Amino acid sequence: MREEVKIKILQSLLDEVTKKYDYFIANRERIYKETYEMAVKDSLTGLYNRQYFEDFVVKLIKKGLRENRDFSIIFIDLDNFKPINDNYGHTKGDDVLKKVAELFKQTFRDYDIIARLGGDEFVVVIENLPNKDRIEEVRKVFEEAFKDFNLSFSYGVANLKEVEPESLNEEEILNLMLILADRRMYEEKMERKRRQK
Amino acid sequence: MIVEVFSSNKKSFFFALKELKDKIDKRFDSYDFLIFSIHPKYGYQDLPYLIEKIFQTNNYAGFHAVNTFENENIVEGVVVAVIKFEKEGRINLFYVEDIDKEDSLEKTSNYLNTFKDKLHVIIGGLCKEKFGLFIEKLSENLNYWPIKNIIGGISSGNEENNEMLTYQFVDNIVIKNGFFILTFDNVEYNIEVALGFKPYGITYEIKKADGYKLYTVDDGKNFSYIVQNFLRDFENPDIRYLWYCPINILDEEDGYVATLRTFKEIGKDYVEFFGQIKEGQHFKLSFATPEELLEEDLKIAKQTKSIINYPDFAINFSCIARQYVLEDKQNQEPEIYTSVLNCPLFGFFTFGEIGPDKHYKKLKLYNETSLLLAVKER
Repeated sequence: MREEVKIKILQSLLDEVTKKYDYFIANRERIYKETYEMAVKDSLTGLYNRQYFEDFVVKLIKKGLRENRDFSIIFIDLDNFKPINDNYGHTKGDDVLKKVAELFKQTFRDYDIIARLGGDEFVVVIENLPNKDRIEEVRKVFEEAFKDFNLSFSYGVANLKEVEPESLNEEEILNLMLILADRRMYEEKMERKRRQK
Repeated sequence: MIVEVFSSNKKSFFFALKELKDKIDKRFDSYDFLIFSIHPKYGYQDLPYLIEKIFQTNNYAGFHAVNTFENENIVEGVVVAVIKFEKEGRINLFYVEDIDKEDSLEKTSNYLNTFKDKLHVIIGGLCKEKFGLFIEKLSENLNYWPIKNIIGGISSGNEENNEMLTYQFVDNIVIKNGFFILTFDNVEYNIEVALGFKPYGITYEIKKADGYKLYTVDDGKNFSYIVQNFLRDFENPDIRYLWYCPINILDEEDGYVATLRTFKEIGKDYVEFFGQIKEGQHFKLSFATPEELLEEDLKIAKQTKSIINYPDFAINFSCIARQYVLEDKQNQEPEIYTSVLNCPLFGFFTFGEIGPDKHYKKLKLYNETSLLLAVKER
């Protein structure tokens, strides 16, 4: 009796596995796309997520060191975002973040990689050095689009060639670039606040 | 430490205890602690009272189990492990009578966090299917790493007068909705987990789940429908047939098999398991033959032997569903452990096993596994 049970259960198991496999083959393009999107995209904004950003930049660092090519990370932090959450609630805050992501996608170039690190922090990876005027232009468009919320952003830039790669591995270089860009963003934020006063 | 395991099959609990006391007195002048595994056929009401009356001690802990290991034998009766320390070893008893009480979780996590350098053996009841959820929450509250010092199991029992008899007995109390922890001090130990079921096919994603119930997978497919197909060719289908193919839940970070879940019931739109199911988790179907399970048992026994060379005793927590799958080879599991470790073996077939995960980050409720603990007094 037990042998019969085992054989039937194993047969059903194999049938189900085959059925699922057939379904997978028939739909693999869609499933792959969905799975890939889930793995690399930020679920709220549809921008790339932190994991993808880190993996991408590590590869870029390897390539940059090998081919002696530079690239930049722009670290962006929104100004005056917290009051939106406090005054209008998190649903409104999420809605604004989605619109911010949309605007970044439209204003940066198609081949720039834009990612949301979390909260109201974003990064843009540019495969050469950024034009400061271009970022200022983006900021102008941004401030106009979100003037009802008095929303703006501060940014800081770090380049691969600024860091000393000799004793560091790719992950350490990435961390150092992020720290540099973050610090410059913070300095810019403080400077802008001083000027506004 | 000297440990010996004795059993009795007498029909009356009183006479079973008497017989055990006679056996113990012949071998021991004194002892430090007694652990009783008691078949639910003996009921529960007078059990702690009779233990204290006959053995004249409150250094004991007992629990319900339908099958217990007395070394290489599987016993349906009363089994006792007698522990006598020879050096600095000690046992402390901690227990919670009601896990639904507000401070139960905090009290337990404080206790485990305070004594993070000691070995803890935890034995609880089904607690109306809530003990597994309690273990998950407890795991979140543990503030140390590695969590490799906790092992245990859920008492196995049967239903009587609408009560599921999976109780514990300590301090002249019957614990109906809680657990006890035996904390061993000044001992070396090793804990291993044997899975043995091999995952098959493509991964499923859990879309809708609640507590121990799984509703839909992937793009909203009713999982109950998939599972019903497994039993369609049987004239008198039995849920236990599905114990040959538990689901293997995968770790979200690393993708290894994090735990198994055994089928408990198939509803129209849900499948219930003997442990928590969470939305977003991924799993594969699995299958094992008795030989494959025993092979895994042998592997963990050898692994344990390489770490604790001459253990004073061992405890095995093995799932009752695993017992079903092992068929007529179920005796071979305790035989493997006793022969490889060459020490007394205590333990029981459980309704769920408690142990560390692969990376010792969490405490997990397992199904259909065999957990092995080997202990040696320091």
